Amino acid sequence: MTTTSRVAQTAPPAGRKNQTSRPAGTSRSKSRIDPTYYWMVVPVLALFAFFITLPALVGVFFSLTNYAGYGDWKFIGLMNYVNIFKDPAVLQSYIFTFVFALTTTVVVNVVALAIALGLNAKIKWRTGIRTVFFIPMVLSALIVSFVFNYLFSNTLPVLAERFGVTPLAASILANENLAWLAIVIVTVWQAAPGATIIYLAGLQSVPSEVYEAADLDGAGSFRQFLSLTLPLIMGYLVINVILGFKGFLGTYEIIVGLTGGGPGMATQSVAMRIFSGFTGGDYSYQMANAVIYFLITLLISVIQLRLIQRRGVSL
Amino acid sequence: MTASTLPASKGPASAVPGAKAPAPKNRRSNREGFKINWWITALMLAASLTVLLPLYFTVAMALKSPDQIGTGTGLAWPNPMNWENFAAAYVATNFPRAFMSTAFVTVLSVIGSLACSSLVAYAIARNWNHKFFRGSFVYLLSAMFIPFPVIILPLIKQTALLGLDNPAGVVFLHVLGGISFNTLLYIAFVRSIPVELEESARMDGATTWQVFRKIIFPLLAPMNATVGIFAFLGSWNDFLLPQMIIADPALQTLPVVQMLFQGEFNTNYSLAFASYLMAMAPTLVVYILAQRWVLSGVMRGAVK
Amino acid sequence: MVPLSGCGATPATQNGVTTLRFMQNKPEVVDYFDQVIKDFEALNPDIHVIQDFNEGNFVPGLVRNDPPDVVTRGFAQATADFVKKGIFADLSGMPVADTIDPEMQELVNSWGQYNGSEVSALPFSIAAAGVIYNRDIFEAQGVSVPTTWDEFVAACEKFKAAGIAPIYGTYKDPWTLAQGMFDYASGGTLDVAEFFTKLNAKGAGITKDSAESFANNFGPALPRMLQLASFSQNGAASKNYADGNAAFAKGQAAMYLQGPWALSQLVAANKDIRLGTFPLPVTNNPDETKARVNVDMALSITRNTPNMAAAQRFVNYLLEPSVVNTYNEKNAAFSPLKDAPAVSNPQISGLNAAVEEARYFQGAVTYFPPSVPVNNYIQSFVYSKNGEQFLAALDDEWRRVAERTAV
Repeated sequence: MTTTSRVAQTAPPAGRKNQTSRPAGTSRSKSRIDPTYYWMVVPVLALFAFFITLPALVGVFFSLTNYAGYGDWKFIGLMNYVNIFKDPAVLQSYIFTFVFALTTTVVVNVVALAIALGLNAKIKWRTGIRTVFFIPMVLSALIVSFVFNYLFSNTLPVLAERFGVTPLAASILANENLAWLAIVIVTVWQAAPGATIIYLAGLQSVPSEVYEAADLDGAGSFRQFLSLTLPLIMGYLVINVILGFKGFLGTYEIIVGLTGGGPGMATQSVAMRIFSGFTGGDYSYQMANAVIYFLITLLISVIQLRLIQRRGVSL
Repeated sequence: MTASTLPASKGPASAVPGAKAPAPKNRRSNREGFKINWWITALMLAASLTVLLPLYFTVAMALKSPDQIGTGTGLAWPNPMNWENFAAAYVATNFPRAFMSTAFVTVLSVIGSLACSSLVAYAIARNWNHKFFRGSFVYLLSAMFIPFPVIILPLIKQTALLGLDNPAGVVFLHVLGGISFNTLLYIAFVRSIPVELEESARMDGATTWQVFRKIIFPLLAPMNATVGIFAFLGSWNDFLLPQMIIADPALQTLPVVQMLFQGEFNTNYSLAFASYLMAMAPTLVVYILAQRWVLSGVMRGAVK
Repeated sequence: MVPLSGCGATPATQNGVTTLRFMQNKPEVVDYFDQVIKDFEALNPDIHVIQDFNEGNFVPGLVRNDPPDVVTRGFAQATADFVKKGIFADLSGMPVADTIDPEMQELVNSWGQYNGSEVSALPFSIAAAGVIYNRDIFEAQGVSVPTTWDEFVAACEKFKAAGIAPIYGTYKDPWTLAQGMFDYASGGTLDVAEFFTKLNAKGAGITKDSAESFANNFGPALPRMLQLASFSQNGAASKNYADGNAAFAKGQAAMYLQGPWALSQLVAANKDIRLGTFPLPVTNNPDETKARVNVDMALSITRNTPNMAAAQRFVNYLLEPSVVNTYNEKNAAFSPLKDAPAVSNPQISGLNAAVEEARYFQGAVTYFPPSVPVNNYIQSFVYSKNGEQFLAALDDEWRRVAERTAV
């Protein structure tokens, strides 16, 4: 995948001759490869094929049966897939999940970039603040769900009532139209640290000469951010957006903990439906759902990559 | 370590114009970089409250007894503090045993991830212009998209057939599962290591293995820390794989054992929180130790 | 410790000691069963029992062909599915099976018996649920336990007038609405077991006009549900189960639509609280009042266990009166034995009559497969009050499930 070469290529500023502007290590003699390299890769590929690809193929096969994980089963062809397309609840969950993932990706990246910019600046107690910001990544889903559940449902309403801010007096999680926003907030809270690490890398790779030159030309800070910083860290943005979006499409634990898919059917995600198949004897049906989900995710990621590449990522 | 001094020498550039704070031009000409931007500091401190508040809540919950958990703001600090929650959680989960299981899985997963992914990344990065290696990379990346439910049941059967339905099997799967992401990170980093270093070693008669062991791997130190921390977190907190792959309850890891506090209708939140805080402690320690390596490592990955 | 998992049915015997794996999925009684196991092992030194509460490992165990030997689970749709696939051994030949109250055994058998007549699970603990009430509040307001629907409504009005919330609602956790309002209202107005038998028989041919549909049967229950909702406190939509336990324990409402599982939570939050339970009367005929029951724990032995003899000895032990009756007494539940003594726990003694006279039903929601998010639909209904839409949705979902499992 060419994203990584983009990352390497966006690092050096324009005009500087740099050895990393082409893939490092291209050997002169293109025909002879040291067999050691094969030894490094092939065993891992084999294990990978056995432990990841093989079960995936088996899983896909099962989606063409009515297997429940145990007991008797028989082959039923594409029936599961046909049934999925007839199921309005499945469509509903995809729409919700898509909108949710889109919103969350945007918010996470804005927040993470902002935090990275802040952490990269000349601030006091940088180490301490850095540590604090990474704590959300380390907390378990149970803690995060319970704490925010309580904060949204009890703490916030009680405080709102005390200070007379009545609109906030009912729990946002019980609001059919706004519950998803609360889930976005919590997901952003937990996902931002990971994205921030990556953005910090990008920011620290921008050499000072770039900004000095811009200063001499009289460019303001916001202008510098837009025209210099952003393009130079584009490769990292790509990684964050693509991996982030894919990750958020699969949100499960946080939603179960915060709203259980409610109020009503408002926050049912695709992952929730897929996991429900494990215990319900609906295994093969949800496997078909999972296969469709995989194809959609792959498709979206490829589209994102093409769109970004077309905009000309490298300098 | 050269990597960590790079940001310092670029001091002024680190006062990157944030879209928020005004940055007067003369500040950047201060090569020492000691001019602290108080605006941004204040902003960051305020923003950190969003993390500190839930953290405070968590710790307070862990010290409460069931009758202290009321329906108020929940922000009241418990009085008296119930330190025995920690002791009770420790005993109930058989903490030492579960801790050892989890540590076993995590340490081996980290070591395995570092070794495997760096090797693969090195081979692929150095042979990027050959279809086989580029193709291998795409193949490995594709796995990141395979949803967990699709592979888990067949995987359970496979691991059982091979006698891997135990922590060792989980180690295997953690390493293999992380290869896609870790290789991605490593490749970016390896590209920044000049080929000339290897070529001169080769002229002295070193084999590729020796080049990797003696030259490349040591230079990968910052990225090793990065991959290490991601692998550590991923493995330590993993719940689903151990729950379904490890057959013997005595060998279960902490996340699974901690489900003890979550009955269908009777969740003992105080004990659960106390337990989770204890389980979280090693992650924080490892993170704090490794974080300076992390940041300089990821940064180094792009810079010449 | 070497993991004893094998990839097949090799008897787990070392040095003459057989090791049994016992899956018990209620974490809150793990400690209790540790003691029971100790007692058992003392009497049977050639058997060693390992308790496993990791329920998520049950299906994987089946996939590995290495499931636990003895299993106890709540008995409902999911367990019935396992029975249908022949996972469990037939226990009808065991003498201890005859000591079980036939009406309670029927609670298990009504879900379907493998091969027509096999007994795949023996009930161990029956939970009976109704309306939990705060005795102190009732006494202070001079309200006695209602035996008809009108009396119940009158009691609610009285509490309301006195400024006390009649019922504490926790709508944010949809399962509490399902277990409480929905099950109580529907169980009291129609024969739930019969309804689902007919519905299942109809299979994929169900439409909302069929006689067996939800739309044509659950209508009478809905107004009762909405009335119950009207007696809940303001802001019930924001409260969840944990909030409800804390609030009810602190005396913020007179009644609570929950089952015995909540009792320990309530006492933990307020050790001085005095509680009682009565079955919700949904009609004005006291003899029709029924309690909601569920088989909270039922014992099974997996069919292919290599340690059948040892497993049977363990099950026999568990169903000895001294063991099973003591467990139920300590956990506010009802024993399945024919000659079980009457329950003396004042928290649940109000349900004694209903249980003894077999005036009970299994909750309607327990008949739904996990793939249908029935709890969420119920929650939608309580908010929207649109009964037609609710029942039509249930019919649709049910039909879809029937279609895809009909193969």
